[in-house]
Amino acid sequence: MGGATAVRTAALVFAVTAAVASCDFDERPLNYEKGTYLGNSEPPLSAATREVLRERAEYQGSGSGTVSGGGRDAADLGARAFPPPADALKERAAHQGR
Amino acid sequence: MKFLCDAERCIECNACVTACKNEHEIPWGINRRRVVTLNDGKPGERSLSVACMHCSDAPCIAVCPVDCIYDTAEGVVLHSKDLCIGCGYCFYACPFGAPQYPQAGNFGSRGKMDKCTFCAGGPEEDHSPTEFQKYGRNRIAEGKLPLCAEMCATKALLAGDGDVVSNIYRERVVARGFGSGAWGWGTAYGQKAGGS
Repeated sequence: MGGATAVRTAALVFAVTAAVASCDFDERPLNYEKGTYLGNSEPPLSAATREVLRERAEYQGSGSGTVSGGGRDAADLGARAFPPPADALKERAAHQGR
Repeated sequence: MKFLCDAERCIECNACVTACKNEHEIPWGINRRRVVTLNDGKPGERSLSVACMHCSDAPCIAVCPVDCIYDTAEGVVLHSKDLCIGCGYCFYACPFGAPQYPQAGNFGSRGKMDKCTFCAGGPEEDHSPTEFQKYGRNRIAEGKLPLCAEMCATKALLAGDGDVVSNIYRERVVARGFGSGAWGWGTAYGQKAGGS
């Protein structure tokens, strides 16, 4: 009798623990400081990136013979880092028929 | 970082709107950027490309009850979708109608606010899938300006450092001899009454 109760109690504790552990707790702050952003911080830009951005901004004022958005190649500052999933193109192609 | 739309050059092609939607894979019902036409069909018709202007003293930041909106060191106004409660206050405060919501509904049932990020992503790891899914492409971290401005066929829409784009605009005004006063510039970047 006592053994069965202990097993039931243990199962209940386990179930509650599992349920609580599986909750998706977000990182919402509980105490706000008015006017202060408390979320994730934005990674700062490097000085090189800032300079490239400035050069590209200046190109907007150039004549029509210059490619808009030209200037120094920005590719080395970081490529689009994540490739699309293997099936992504197939899936998108299939969507065209719907 | 600032936007400037030269109304004398905008031809209402809506390519900026399309480019934005495509680059960030923005869902149906949300337009981070749109083209507004004033005096449509009448003499003096002008078109403007409007999105979040990333104001210097952004009213959306001031009214947000959960402080989910912030500005970066570059002067780009961004927000955290993890903190946003979809109250809609920023929509009412914004003079440009920039904040958008994925669903129609009352307080809290609109979903998380979405707006132009100046192609700077959001408060997630740069180029991470999470950042892309929540905020769209992070071109700024790649050293590229917002796509809407970079691909504008007539170079009506300018983006970049405030002094650079204002110099470009000033030179244009001097060269053509008319059309001074960029729409929205004073509202977004001018000094507020009583401010320092």
